[in-house]
Amino acid sequence: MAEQLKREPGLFKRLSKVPGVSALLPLLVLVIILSLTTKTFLTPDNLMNVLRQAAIYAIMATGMTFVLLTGGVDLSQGSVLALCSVTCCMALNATGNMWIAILVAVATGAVIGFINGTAVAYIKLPPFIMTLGSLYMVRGFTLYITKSTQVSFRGQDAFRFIGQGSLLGIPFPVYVFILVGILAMVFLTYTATGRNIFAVGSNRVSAQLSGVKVNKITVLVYTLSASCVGVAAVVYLARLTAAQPTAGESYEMEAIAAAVVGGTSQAGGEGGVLGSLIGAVIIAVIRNGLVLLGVGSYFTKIVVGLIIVLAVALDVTRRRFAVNK
Amino acid sequence: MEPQFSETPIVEFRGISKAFSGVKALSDISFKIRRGEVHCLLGENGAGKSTLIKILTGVLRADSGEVLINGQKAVVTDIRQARQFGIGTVFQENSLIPHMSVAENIFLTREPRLKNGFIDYKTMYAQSVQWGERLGVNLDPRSKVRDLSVAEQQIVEIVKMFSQNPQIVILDEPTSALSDKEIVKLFDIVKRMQAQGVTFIYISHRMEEIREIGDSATVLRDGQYIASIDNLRETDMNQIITYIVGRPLDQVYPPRNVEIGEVMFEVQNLSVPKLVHQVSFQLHRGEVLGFSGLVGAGRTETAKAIFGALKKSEGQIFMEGQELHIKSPFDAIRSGIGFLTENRKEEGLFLEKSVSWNTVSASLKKIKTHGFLNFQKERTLVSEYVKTLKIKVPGIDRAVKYLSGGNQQKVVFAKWLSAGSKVYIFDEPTRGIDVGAKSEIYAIINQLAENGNGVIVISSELPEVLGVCDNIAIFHEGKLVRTLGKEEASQEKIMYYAMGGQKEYG
Repeated sequence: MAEQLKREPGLFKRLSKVPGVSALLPLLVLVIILSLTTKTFLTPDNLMNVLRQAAIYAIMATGMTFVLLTGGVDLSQGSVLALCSVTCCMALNATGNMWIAILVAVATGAVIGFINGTAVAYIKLPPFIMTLGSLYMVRGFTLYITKSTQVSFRGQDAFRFIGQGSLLGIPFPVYVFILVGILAMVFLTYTATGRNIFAVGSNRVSAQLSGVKVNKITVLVYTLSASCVGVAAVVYLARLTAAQPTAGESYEMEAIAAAVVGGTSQAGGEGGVLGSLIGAVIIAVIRNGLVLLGVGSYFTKIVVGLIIVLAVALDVTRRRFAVNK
Repeated sequence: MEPQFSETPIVEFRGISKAFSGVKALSDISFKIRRGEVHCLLGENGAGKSTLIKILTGVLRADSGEVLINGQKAVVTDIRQARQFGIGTVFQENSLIPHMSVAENIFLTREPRLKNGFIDYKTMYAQSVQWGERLGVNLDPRSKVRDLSVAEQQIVEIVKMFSQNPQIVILDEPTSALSDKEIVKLFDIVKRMQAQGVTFIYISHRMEEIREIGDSATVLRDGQYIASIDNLRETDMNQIITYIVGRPLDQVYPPRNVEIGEVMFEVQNLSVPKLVHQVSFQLHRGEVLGFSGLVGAGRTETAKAIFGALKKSEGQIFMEGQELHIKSPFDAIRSGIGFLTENRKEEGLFLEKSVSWNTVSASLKKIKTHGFLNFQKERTLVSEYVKTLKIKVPGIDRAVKYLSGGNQQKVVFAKWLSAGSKVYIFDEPTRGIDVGAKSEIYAIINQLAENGNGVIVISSELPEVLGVCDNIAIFHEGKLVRTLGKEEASQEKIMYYAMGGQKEYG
């Protein structure tokens, strides 16, 4: 028998193999159902509102995806969001320069992420434990520097625009999350470092023995995770014009949920940013839809939980049946 | 003394067929296994051996045909029921619970109880020792399984199974992780159990041991029954290989006439605390150097220390006259060293990832354009390797976990070829691979040497070492004790030094 390499499959088939695309289907189903059952869902205003709400989670989920891909987890995200928005606001008030403030927010995140990553990589602390510790420490530190009161800013219309403005009818935060998402996707797909992130999550030992600098990758992903949170904090602060030291509690769970619904495996090595973005939108659509349907907020939590379990169950089942043919 | 064979076969397969989504995995398999025998099941990977075993143990159901146990039709639907029929399996990956003791593992779910319902540890320990003694092994029933070596764990697994009074025991590649000494021990256990009336179905790719332990054999090829051999020990080895591969295999080891050039790679006084002591050797251009020795003699550790995967306490490494300062595998790869590990699944491959992904995983630099990965370049490069190494895949996007052992191993080879290594270290390159693929891998090794590279082959199979290497470095307890040229080496001589022989051999 002649050795023959299969031709590349068609565009549709190839697209369906891109991690995350399979999450589009449930999103589509949701949108159709809500369009039919409510009058207000499929209005431009409402849709933009959904995307605006999804933005912060989507940016955080992008960061979370890097960590999950290596088989880790970053539980400190919510606390880091509070700290970054506080430092951002302080910098804004102190300098009056929004660019410096943005830089401070991202740098604050990067420093915390670097510490997390270093502890996980070199002290070999389990990611769950290290970032759980950070969750408490960062929150405590934020409360300490703010003396438990909120920090706010005045004026700064340009900065405020980041959170509240719209461009061509689309809320500015949506541009931010799409930009962050695209950068992350390009990084993961088209760079050697990006691919090595998958390698570490797929098989750490093989990665090490293939010349991947596993420890450096580990530090990098936690730094990226918290830096993304820094970006999210900027949007958050610009939207609310005040930084609450208690902000962002349990947001890390939203980020994990978005990533997992989007098909990123919490065991590492499988998934991608596109899925996480779609996952964040799915969760925002569900919340919005349930409100429009007049369902109470208790129910919202139940449905979101159910969706997480169902999404993963579906994924696990699909993998199990995709056996060797 | 020859074992006594009774008239009714203990197992009989009658017309077993099985297809997976239309593809025949087994077609009309019929043969008998006599009571008290060690019956070897032979065939290349994919020949249908494991499918047949899975049908026998109830993991899979046959599409047609029947299995007779003790002359009676047996419908086995799961492993537990298989156990009731007296069928026990020793799995390749053992099923013990690491943090529990030996005795707790042996009696798992069958723990002897005191009157008050608590576990009777005293009896459990005593009985564990007794079961061990019946097989001639000394067990410490209190030690934790995770503290035991792989070989010891396997023995515990066998004792566990033996304690359940099996009639038929399936051993699937039981020696793949064992040293020669441990294999002798395992065979002793098998013979003791055989003497007590247990029948064995034995699956292995190692020809030598099949003839040592087996009484009879059945050969499968491409899901077809090929032949049964009643008297294995007196059957010509080439005949058996011909049955297995379907064509006379002129030579498993392809001939080689390579000009051995100047020294290209040198290691001086390499040491790793407790594992490797002052190892020095030279590797020439075009040379294949064998590392022989018992498991645990420091061969793999030497390789890992060279490769930067294990921290060395002293020693110098030179490539083409230049000293290398290797602190990590990254440094080693950059210096032109490739290392194929002995466990491809755990330490070599990314199982969920594609053939293509795996192949370029150590050479991403090669497929970059302007700093970004170029997928077109990747496809071209990988397709090239798939062709030259004859990797059998439906497409390069196929996840490697779906490939056979031989093809998986070729993917690892492709990875190191792609990384552009000059010195290749292959640790057990043909472990768990069928005869046909083995021969192809030897050809690749020869080709690498011919192209002016240096190759180190670590192998526990002596015929392999003698078949492919120009020189053989023999390790004993972390030291390189002797290097023999191909002409002066023999299996006995290598074993003599590997076991710690001090004087000149013979």
